[in-house]
Amino acid sequence: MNSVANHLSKLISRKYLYLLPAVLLLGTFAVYPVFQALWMSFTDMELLREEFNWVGIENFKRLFNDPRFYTSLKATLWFVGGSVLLQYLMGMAGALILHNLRIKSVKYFRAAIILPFAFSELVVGILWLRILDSEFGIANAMIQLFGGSAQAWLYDWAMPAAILVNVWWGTTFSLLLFEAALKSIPEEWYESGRVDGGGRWYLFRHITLPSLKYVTFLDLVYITLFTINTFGILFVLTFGGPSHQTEVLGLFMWKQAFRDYSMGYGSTISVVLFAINIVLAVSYLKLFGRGVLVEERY
Amino acid sequence: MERKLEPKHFAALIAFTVLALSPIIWLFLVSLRPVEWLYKFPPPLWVKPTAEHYVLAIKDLNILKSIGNSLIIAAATLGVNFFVAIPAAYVLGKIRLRYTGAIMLGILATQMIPGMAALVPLFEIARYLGLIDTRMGVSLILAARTTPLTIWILKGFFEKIPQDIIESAQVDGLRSVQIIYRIILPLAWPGIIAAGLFVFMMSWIEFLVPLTLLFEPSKMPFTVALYQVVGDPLSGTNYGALFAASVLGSLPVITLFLMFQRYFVQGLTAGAVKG
Amino acid sequence: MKKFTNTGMIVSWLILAGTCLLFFECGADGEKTTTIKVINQSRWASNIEKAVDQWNASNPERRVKLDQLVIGYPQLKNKLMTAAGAGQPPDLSLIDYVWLAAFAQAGHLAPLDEIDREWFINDYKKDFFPVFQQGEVLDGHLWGVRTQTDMALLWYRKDWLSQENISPPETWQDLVRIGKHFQKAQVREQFGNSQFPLAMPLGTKARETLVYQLLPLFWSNNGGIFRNGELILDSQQNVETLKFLSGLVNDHKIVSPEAISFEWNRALQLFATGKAAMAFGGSYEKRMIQEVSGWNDSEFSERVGYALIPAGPDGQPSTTAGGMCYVVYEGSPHKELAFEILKLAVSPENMKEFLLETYQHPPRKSIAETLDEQKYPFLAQTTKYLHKARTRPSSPEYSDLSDLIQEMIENVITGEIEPASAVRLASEEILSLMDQSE
Repeated sequence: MNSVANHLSKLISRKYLYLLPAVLLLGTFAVYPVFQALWMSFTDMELLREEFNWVGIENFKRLFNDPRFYTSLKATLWFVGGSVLLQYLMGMAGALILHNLRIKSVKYFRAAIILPFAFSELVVGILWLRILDSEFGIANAMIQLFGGSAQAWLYDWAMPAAILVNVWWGTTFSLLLFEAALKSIPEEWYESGRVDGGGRWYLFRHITLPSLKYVTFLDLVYITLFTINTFGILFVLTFGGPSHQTEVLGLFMWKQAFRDYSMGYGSTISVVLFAINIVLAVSYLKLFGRGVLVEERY
Repeated sequence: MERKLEPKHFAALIAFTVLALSPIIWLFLVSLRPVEWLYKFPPPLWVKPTAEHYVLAIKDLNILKSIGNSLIIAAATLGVNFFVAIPAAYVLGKIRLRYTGAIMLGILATQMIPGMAALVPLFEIARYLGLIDTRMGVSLILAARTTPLTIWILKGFFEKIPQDIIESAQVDGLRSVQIIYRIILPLAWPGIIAAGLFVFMMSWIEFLVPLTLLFEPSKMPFTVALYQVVGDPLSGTNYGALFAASVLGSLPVITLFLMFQRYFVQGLTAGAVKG
Repeated sequence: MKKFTNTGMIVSWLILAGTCLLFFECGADGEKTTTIKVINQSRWASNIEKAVDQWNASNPERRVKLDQLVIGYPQLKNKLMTAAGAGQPPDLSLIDYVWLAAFAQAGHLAPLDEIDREWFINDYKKDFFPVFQQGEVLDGHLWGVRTQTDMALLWYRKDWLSQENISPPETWQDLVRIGKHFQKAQVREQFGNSQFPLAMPLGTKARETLVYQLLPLFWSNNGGIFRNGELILDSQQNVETLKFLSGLVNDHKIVSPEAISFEWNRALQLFATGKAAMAFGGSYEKRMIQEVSGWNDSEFSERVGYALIPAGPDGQPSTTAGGMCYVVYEGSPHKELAFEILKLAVSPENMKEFLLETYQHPPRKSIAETLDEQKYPFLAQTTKYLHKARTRPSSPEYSDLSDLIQEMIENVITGEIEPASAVRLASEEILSLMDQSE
């Protein structure tokens, strides 16, 4: 029996075995749907109907000829760009503050700050819908209290409002990620930096930031993907309005296809989204260098 | 380590807290006020509180049971996550594999397809595997969604652990599993906490997958149970009940977070090197 | 090192919990009773429960165990589509009648007339209003049974109008006239309303409600989408209607331009808080108006008046009748039993009790005729409107159709497209939609 085990262990290098659970899980539940979607994108499948036809690239043609697709691309650019930038900045700032504050009560502050993410998109959307309500909302009430004039937030300022709510909700992710990463930078590095005569900004630029390279990449990529793929808040807050101004790709896709489970066309849009996401990820990769994928020897 | 509590840092902290917390405080306040106060403008800050929405949530919406379901689903998702991600991150982070880069990228790529598109194929896979109307099925799907992030986070933290510690452990005769358990995990605590929290929160607020996969009402997590009071054409959205239920639903997250915060401390890499 | 053994414990606990679940989920019901699976909304839940209880009382040898999933209206369509489409349909469910045609055409519903022809001919055909039979009997088969109905209405402040000696609005000109009156500064000061005395949704954010409330405006100008099976969207009357709508916002300014981003219940909120003197709405909103305003029943009767949707230059006042249906699924292994429960739930006695308890309108003539006007004035009076009501088109493509109409309206209001081009464009798209489904 020992020789069989020896044989096997030589054949399947044990290190790859460690990857097996991941391969099984992701292969079944994450990879397979991608291929399914790819296949369905060339059909006109509808969930309710059994029969379907192969339509080749008709769906793609329809998508690229739709002016609303391009409006949604623009809206997505604004929404994702704004959200990612703000979430990165706020997350980093918050992480630095929380990490450097060596007081006992920091854990309560931290718990309070990460709270927004504990609520689902539906609740967040509805909450802010009420807060920003032009007639009954507390935002306008407070503004008027301080002498300003009430605004129709979701009508005149739809995109900024949407970004604000999204950032309020999602910053938790970046903040926790950065704080965790900050906590694994050894103290001695800072000490030797200070010994070398560096001030706070110097320390930040030359010790903190480089150590956070991996996590920054991860954070940016993840928020980008996450924001592009989810639209729960926008759904409730603006539903793409007014006049498609905030109709990001995810919402566009839902309205055009998934509202009625038109699997064919919906998969087409998903495939295009997938391609966009890959392009974005690769761009980030180019920006940060291959070191984020594989640890560089230093 | 002279870390003084500078006033401007404290001010920034307060600002952050206020920004994050005030909408939630509003949520909490609204959950305590009778319905007719929702439409007065300007909205009063203080109204004599009522517990009616909480009573409704607990009695009619069966919110406590559904929170229990959410806990079960989130725990199982966490379990699967760590079971799958820890070995994978260990191998990808510590052992020279030829295709590490490609594998990491591939793992990331599974996150690039929007959730909606995958919903129907996933339903069919679940049906094939007999997982329809099971909370385990929901957990597996959610785990597949969150594991890539966990792998990426853990790999980053594992990578930072100096190789000499591991080598000295190997010299001491420890096998891989023990190395992971006794050395790597403790040193990567902040990363584990962060990843665990993300997984928990993401499965906590997940709504579409349980709605689609589950049919048995007693299995529904609370995100689905909440929907009973939203958007009904006859009675409108019962904001009070919705917010009350949400407050109740956020309590487990807060409690868990406060419980695990003491592990969210400076990594022990410093001490370990010398040890 | 206590910290680290804790780690181990927690991690193992989690893995244990996860695996335990695998075994927890293996419970099936090996009982002798038949389980009927129902997907329903909360308001209807007790109606079904009662029917099941009644069945079990009179049929103890064929007991039914009710497994009812209650979800909210926004999720209902989602849930039913994935369940039916992926082969896991319930036995019985609630469904919005506008989705009926799509489900029926795809073969997911059981033809109820074939299960019990006698009931179909002697009960259903005789007692349900013809306008509902139009929506539920397709290709000669009965696919669903209406459980209640509601209708589009124009709400107005009866007390304000009578104080100003204005009679209730019946035509489009009345709407404009009354709107302009309440725009005047002195009038506004007296009543406290805003500068936009007419509240109504005008954009896609209101979704189906937009079509529900505004389609009667097209009908009341002798227009509409279909007539006798023909597409009549591209017509002068419809162009007129769109011009009228645009005029309300852009010329007369009695409707706020924000209306294109009103969600479905916005108009009633504005009406109930006294910001608007008139509002488009539906009969189902009565309770909500009372909730928002705090008015009790008698205060409501004093202050709130209601009318059919006003008539255009070319037509008569009209309204839409909506409603939810019960359906039985073709894939159900207990179709006959499920239908028995259905019949009990929509029996005249049970239905009447359900309607009065939830304050909704009857789809049965027998109940309509016996409504106590003294006790339920609002219900009784508005039920009479059912005789002037029409229904939205019953087409399997209804969802896309509705979407096109919503876009058409919103784009005209924002000025993005001219009314004439809008109807033409929408017509073309509908035609190609119909062609595709051939």
